[in-house]
Amino acid sequence: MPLLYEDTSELHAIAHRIRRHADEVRARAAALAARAEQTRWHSAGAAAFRERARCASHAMRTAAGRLDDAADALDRHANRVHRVLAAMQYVATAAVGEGVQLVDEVGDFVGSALDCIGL
Amino acid sequence: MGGYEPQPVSVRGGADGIEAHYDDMVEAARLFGRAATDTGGASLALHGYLLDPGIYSSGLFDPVGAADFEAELAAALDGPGGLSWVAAEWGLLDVQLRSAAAAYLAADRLDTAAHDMLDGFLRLPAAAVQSGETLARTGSVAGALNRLLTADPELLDEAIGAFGGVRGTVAGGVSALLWDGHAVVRDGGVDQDPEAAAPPRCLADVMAGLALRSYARHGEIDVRVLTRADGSRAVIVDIPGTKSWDPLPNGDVTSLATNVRAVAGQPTAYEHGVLTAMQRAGVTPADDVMLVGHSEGGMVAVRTAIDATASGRFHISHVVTAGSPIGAVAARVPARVQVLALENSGDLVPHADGATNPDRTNITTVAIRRDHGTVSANHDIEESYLPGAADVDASGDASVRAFLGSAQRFFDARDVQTSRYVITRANW
Repeated sequence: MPLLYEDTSELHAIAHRIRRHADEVRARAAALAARAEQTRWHSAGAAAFRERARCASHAMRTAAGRLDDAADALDRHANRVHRVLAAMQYVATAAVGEGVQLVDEVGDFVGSALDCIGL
Repeated sequence: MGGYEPQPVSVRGGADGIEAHYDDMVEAARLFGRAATDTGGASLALHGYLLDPGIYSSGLFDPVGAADFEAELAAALDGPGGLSWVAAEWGLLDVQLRSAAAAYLAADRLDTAAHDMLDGFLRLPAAAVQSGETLARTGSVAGALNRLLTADPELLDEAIGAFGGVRGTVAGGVSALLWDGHAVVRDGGVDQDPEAAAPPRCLADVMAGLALRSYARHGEIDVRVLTRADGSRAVIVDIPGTKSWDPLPNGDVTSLATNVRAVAGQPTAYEHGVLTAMQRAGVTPADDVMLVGHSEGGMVAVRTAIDATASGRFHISHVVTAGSPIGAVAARVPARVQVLALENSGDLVPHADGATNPDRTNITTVAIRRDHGTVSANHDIEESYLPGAADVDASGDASVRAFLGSAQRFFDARDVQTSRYVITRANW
């Protein structure tokens, strides 16, 4: 894992991977809940088992939703980082431009001064 | 039935019983175990993003946003009901299901053995006393033995178990010696007897129909086509029990060869004859069919239900047996076939396979109490199972009510046509 991503597209890619995990978890929750209901076991113990399986399946769907929330948070973060980096780049570019102009002006000024004293 | 006094019945299995299919439970447990592993793996992989230095360093430019993401992801993974907990929970459900399946399997094995052994030995002292009293009173050894066996029929389970059960070497060898040939079915015409022309209204009526056929010719069965008010049909097939104990090769399908083969769960010419008769009577896979059998006929009924369901040839929805040893094969009856097994507590014959009927939601075993003190009367359809069926009708047991409720379409027909067929064994 790099210490600093070159751009924020890598953060968006991570968010995408987290969402894919969330989708898989959701699909697995549905399949497991259905299998628990279809298991050919009927008794008081089986009813308790099914209730527990339902809870686990519900928790899975909730966890999948939270993963989606985490992915959304990462996307928002990536967008903010992108905006901050863009602003910094703008400022840096502007500063460099101003600096070059200043150097030119100082050069011109020094040249003119030297001309005046005949050097 | 004048002077009929309902007797209480004991019920095992049925809708109020336990259903546990070990193989299916273990298969489901495997799936849950895989889900636990996969979900745990996903959780581990996602934990990597909580420690990602790239995401950490991006926090320099948006510390609040980075912290927000880390908090959301941590909650999804390790919060209450998070992915790590879910993985552990499915792992526990895997273990729970496997344990339950193993426990049921062990309990079923133990239950069958213990049920027979305990019942056999607990009833032995009282049976011995009654037998001794009979001997003292009558001086008849045969009478005393009769009394001993009817007072403690579970002894037979123990004796058969000692010889390796009905699927053991002895039974296998005997059944191989008794050649069964193949079935020949003759039409016997429509039965005009008023009893055969009356649609059944309860289980006792169904049993009366079987009793009527039991007093007919050797090998005679009937197919009762019931027509309901809405024009829909249901079918009852009556399959009587043993009428000949001739051990030598013969053409009577109700003789010993069928008993020996059926008790070991093997197909018989009698069964093939029943299927042919149903076809000739115009029974189709759209008709709900109830097979009713006494003694050997009950074993044939169970085996017919297993085979007809597997082939899809007929839709057997219900089986009623009376005094039939079906314990060794009943577990193979498909779950969609409801079985009601009537066993008189003093009847030896249901113990002839040395196996107790399995405790399943689709197998309701009802022990009736109609003790007449002799082996033959306790097994007799008229003396024991006809009043026993009325006892079942009067029972409020949940499993019994569920069975009778599911069989309602056999009890509300507008009219009935009863066709007779005579099955004989050819090439024996």
